[in-house]
Amino acid sequence: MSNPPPIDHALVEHLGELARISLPKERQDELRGKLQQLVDAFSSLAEADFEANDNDFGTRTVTPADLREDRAEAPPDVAEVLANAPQTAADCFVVARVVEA
Amino acid sequence: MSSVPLTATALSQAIRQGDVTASDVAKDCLARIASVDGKVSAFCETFEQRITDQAASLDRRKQTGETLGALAGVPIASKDNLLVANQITSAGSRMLSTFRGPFTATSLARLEEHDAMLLGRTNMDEFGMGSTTETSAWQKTRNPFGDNLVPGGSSGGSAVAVSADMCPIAIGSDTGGSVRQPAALCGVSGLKPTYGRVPRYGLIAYASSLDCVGAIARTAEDLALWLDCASGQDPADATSLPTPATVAHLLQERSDLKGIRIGVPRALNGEGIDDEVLAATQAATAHLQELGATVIECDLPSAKHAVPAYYLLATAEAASNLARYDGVHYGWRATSADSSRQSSIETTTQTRSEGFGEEVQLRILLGTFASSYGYSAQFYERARLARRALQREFQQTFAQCDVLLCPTSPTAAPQFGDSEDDPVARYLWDALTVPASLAGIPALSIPCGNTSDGRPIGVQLMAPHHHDGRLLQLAHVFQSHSEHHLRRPQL
Repeated sequence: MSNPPPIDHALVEHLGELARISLPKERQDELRGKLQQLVDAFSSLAEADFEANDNDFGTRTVTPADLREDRAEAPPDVAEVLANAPQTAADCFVVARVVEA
Repeated sequence: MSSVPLTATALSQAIRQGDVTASDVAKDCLARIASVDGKVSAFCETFEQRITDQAASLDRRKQTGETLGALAGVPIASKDNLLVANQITSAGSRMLSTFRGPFTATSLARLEEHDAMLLGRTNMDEFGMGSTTETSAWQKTRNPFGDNLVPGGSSGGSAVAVSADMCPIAIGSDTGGSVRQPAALCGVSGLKPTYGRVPRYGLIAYASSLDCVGAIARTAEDLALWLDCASGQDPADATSLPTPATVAHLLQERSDLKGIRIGVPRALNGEGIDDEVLAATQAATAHLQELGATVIECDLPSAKHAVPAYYLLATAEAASNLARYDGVHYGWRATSADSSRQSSIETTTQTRSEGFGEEVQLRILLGTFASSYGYSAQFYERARLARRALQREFQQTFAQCDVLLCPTSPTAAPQFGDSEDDPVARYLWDALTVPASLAGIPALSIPCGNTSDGRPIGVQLMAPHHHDGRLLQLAHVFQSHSEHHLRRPQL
């Protein structure tokens, strides 16, 4: 069996970047410890025999409903779309700059 | 008459017969909440004006001779992650502290179509991530059976609202046990229907392949009434199932359990379960036998992988679902001292770091890890295989028995602060509820006793897909011959 992967500070920082969550140093230490505990415990899955010939990777076990007809519908009102936006201007969402100066 | 302690079934009947008005019911409910919610903090908000207007409208329709719907005048609370048009819906998170529902969730709109009255929103663990309601950004909800006891979670507010007689039905959502577990800890009944039976449109997503809208009530009869009103295909939810046959009539078809085969999986009825919980479950099993059921022991070997599989799949889905909280489209946006110099990525990162609580951040990181390059084969894909194996085993087991039985929670309600800092120990607390979630099968928790110090204990029943009615039928027979579900806390 493969050993549980070590969760080091570099990995925690990388996960934070992927998830767009900034982690101060003391929080990183705490999260690193908790993630390591979870990864160690969950590594038991690697040892289990789940019948390797089972190629059904789907998780659906109930019959799906028919999909609704694909037809164009009137778009929602702009004011309705923007109603919960934290910042708007001229009927648009306001975003921070995306191009470096 | 005070309408509050009545069941939903009795209440709607009384209103339709003209024995009580919807306005009196609304008034009684709001008065009860004003009187007891200060002690338990189940509600984040009551919809006072909305329910008063709804009640007045129902009374006018009744006076004109109109026949009212099956839920006529029944006050129903909803978990803070189900959208109600124009009302705040925060999912227990600072991230959505000012978010107002642009529409009403299908599962709630259907209740209103049957003339139910939406009473208010109940407290919950942030985005459904927790088992004690302690991760809510807003308030500490207390178990009515003891000031210092947790109510369970994540639908803790909904369970407390019913347990403390503030309403006869409260809606919750169940991803890994979030309806069943708090129901068990608060001494009420909770149903997680077959996945897809009740549409998810308007439910703020945690893990989409597992999320189910469920309900908490005092009796199986009320849960059947709710299920018939809430079930059915919804064009807005591609995972919703074709509208099923109704179930409430099934409850009148049986007075005993002759011919019912109850399976007791060894993996879910032994290790790690408190002695008093096990004893109460065994006593309930014996009672079901006395009522005519046959009890057989069975195996469910993959159940031991359910907690890892559940937490890897649920958090991977959560990491994806919660990516939408970027501080642009809706919800909280962090501002820095000099926001004009901040980039889009910096704004999003600061927003998510300040807006999400610690448990949500931990689960997002775990899910990001489980599904990331280099680790997904060892974790995410293995978890999917474990889920498939468990689904197969459930299918095989249901060839030998009609329902499966085990405790709902390994312990009765613990005290605040008892919850372990060790996340593995905390997640193992869900070991008995996550198997049914992974399989997508219906599962129900009903009260079956209490500990020597008075904390409620729940027993869980599980059935094959689409057989929600069978669970409710069995529970109704049990409740017709026992009084565990009638026990109320002293408030």
